[in-house]
Amino acid sequence: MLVLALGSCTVERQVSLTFGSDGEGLDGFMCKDPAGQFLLDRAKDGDGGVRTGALVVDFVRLGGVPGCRTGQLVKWCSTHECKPLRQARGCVPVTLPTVTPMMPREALRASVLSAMRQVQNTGVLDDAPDEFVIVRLVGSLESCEALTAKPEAVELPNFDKAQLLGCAYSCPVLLDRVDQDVYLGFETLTVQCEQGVRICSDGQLQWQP
Amino acid sequence: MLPALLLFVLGADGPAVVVVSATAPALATRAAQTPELPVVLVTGALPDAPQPAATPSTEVLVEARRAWVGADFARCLSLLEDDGRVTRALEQEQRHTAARALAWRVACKLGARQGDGARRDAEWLAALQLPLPEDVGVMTPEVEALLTSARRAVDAQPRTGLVVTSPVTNAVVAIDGRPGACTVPCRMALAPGTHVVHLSADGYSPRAQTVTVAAPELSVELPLSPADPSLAAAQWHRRRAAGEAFDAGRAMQLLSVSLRAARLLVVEPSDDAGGVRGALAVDGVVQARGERDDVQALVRDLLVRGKVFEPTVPLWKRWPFWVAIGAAAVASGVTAAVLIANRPVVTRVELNP
Repeated sequence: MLVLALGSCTVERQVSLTFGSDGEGLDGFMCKDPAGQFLLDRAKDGDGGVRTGALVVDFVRLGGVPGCRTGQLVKWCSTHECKPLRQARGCVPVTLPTVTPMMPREALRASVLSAMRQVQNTGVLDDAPDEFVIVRLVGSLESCEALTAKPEAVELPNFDKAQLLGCAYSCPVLLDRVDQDVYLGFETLTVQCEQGVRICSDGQLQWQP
Repeated sequence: MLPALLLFVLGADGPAVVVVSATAPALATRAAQTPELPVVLVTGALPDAPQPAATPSTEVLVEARRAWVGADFARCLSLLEDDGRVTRALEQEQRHTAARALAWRVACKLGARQGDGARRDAEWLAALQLPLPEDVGVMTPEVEALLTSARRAVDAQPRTGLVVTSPVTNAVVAIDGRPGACTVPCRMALAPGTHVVHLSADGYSPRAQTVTVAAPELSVELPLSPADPSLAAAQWHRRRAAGEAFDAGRAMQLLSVSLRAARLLVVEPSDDAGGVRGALAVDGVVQARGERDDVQALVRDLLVRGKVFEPTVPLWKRWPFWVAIGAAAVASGVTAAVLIANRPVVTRVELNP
């Protein structure tokens, strides 16, 4: 009986996704396109308002445990199938800030972090996958309804690259075993990083022209 | 005859065993009804007490005396010339009869003018250290003088050693009709001449042998053959009459032989009121003795301790049981450890920017 009782009980854990205490991982939401426009400005409507977007959390199966750096991940995914788990996508509506001219980068970071905190403590998945994944968070102007898998659909909807607002991702992690918050970040050395956001949000994490 | 009832125990395998209750037949009857035994219990009877041994007839001596008085010395000698008459009397410890036979032989030989023969018989009587019988009083003074001089001559001779040994330990040696002279190995000093050695031991048939002792020393080894049932019964009765305990080792052995029982169980009331004593012998050797309040419990106890059958061992007293328990415990522990180590984990993921 004791053995059965032991076997029947489950361990309940909780893992938080974070960008760091000061929003260090938000660089992927402060990218500009090749024309020099912040991706966040895509949310502006013609009336001077801001459109509501969505934060999409995907758990990307890697088929292994590659390194954490962007280059390592991209190389890994060029030879492996890196694919978001269909049943594990989470989506939260969010309104991200627009960028004012001459806005200091740290102020922008704080503004984005403040906006992100609208969804503080929002659950995105009740049972994390029992395998190594990377957690990816994509900001998009598309609605959660549009980005959530339809029952009849085999694949998850792809992001409209023209409506991307930003992206961040974690290192490969086994969420059932991790003992800390999972840090989401984005590696870039320049603000002209729309290409990185495209790769980050791609369904296969492949290089996007 | 003692009130007796025997209890035969027939094993599921192996020979039967006899159990005796010499004083309480009802006790043996109740023992026979002991339930749930893997053996069959059957009652029987104790062996009969033996008839007293017949004493040698003295009619020949009376007839020889009558012939001597009638000066019919030839008839007298024909009646007494057999040395076996003397040795048989000595084997049966009838020294007085042996002495009378030899004395009349001396008298008859003297009457027949057989001086040398008379002298030899007189010396044999003296060497056997037999007392002079009262019959000498009616014989001639010549006979008495010869017997006396022969006794002096024999007594003047140095003694010669006789060593008696036997494979049977503690066998009792009797010399010339004198019982209990010693036990083997036995060394004694005797007058030179012909002597009768008699060896006896309970459980064996007695044996007698005539030996001629001469200087410097004579050694004889006398093996004994096992007693037959009737002799064993007689020996058992003699020990019982002497007050030996019923469960003594030798008594149990003799009773086993007399009853032809390879296994023997004896039950008797004990000195304590209501108690029962008992003993079990297997192949004549006592394997267990005991005392209990209940005869059936005693029977069961003796049969188990005597290894007539093995008791049913409770499951928890068997080693395979504890091996199985240990294995089950180890398996449970391993299973529990595996289950604990592999408990399903449910991880909730939430945004916490």
